[in-house]
Amino acid sequence: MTRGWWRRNAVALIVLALLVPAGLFALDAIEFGAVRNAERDIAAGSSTSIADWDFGSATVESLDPAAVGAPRGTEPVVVTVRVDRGHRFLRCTPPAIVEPATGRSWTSITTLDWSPPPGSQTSCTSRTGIPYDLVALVLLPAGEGQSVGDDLIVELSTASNLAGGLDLRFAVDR
Amino acid sequence: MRGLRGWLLGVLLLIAAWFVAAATPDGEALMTDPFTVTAAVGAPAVGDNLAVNIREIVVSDGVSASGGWQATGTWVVVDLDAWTVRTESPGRIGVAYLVLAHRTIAASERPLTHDSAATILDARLHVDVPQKGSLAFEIPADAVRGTAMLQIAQDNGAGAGDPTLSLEGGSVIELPLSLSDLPTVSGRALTPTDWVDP
Repeated sequence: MTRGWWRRNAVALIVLALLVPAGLFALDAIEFGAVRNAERDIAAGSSTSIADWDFGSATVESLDPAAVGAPRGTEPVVVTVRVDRGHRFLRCTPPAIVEPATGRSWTSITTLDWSPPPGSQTSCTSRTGIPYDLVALVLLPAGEGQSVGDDLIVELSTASNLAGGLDLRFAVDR
Repeated sequence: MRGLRGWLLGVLLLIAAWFVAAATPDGEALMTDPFTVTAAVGAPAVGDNLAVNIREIVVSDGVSASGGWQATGTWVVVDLDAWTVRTESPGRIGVAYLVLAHRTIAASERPLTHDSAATILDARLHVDVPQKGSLAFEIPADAVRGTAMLQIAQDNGAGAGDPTLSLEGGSVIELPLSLSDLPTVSGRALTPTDWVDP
């Protein structure tokens, strides 16, 4: 191909260079835009703000399986996210645990013998307006070949009129 | 001559495109058709998120369940372990069918009348933490012959009423059965949903 060919087709090539990425972006947004939240990564020990709410830091604390009636070969953990409630409307899910290396995720379990510590709560709603710990009991596998690594993310999804859907992904030190 | 070659090439490309289009599966069907995972008794069968280990299948002339529920009739009882492999949301056996020659029978919800843990149907499952339980199918007495297919799948939100809808969009764990070869027992007690001891 000669330089003349590129020059003759310069306009078409520029249009292609714009339309192909735009088309891919549009397809992605149409297919997945409504079901996939934006994500925000938060470093271990740090917090983040959405609207006038503050979330973080997040911690994961292991419990004795026998103390909560969990089966052998499991590791029950309490996931805690500090929440400083604002005045704007915002919803959020209970915190869950994600293992980035495998994509496995665990959500809160309510059938074990465990109650939230005083001053904490298991849902995002709060009428008091004072900071609280958002907690969830999560049952992790600890059997041979199935146990969870130390590299974990605490994830919770939020939705607000101001920021839309946003998934918070807290790194935690175990 | 050069123009003729161009036309010829164009026609050949069109014909090739027709073959490609004809050989390409329907995209919509590919997105919604379930994919099957064939199970064997005593071995784990892993779907896209649901995994089961079918322990035993029997035909019983009556069943009883935790909570005091019991019924007469002809039942196929499946004892199994179940767990999820990626996520707990969703994480349930939402539908289970026994496909007979001329009819499809959904796993009975009747044993759940007094105790929601009486069968493992719709029980909350956990990632890599197995639970044991039973599925029970009430079948006509004259149906205990020939072959059948056991199908187990996650809940996709469509309910159990129409298998073509409720099995869409995920994996289906299937086990072919010869009903006349199944052990026959009397008054089988269903295994309440509980943790599996490692």
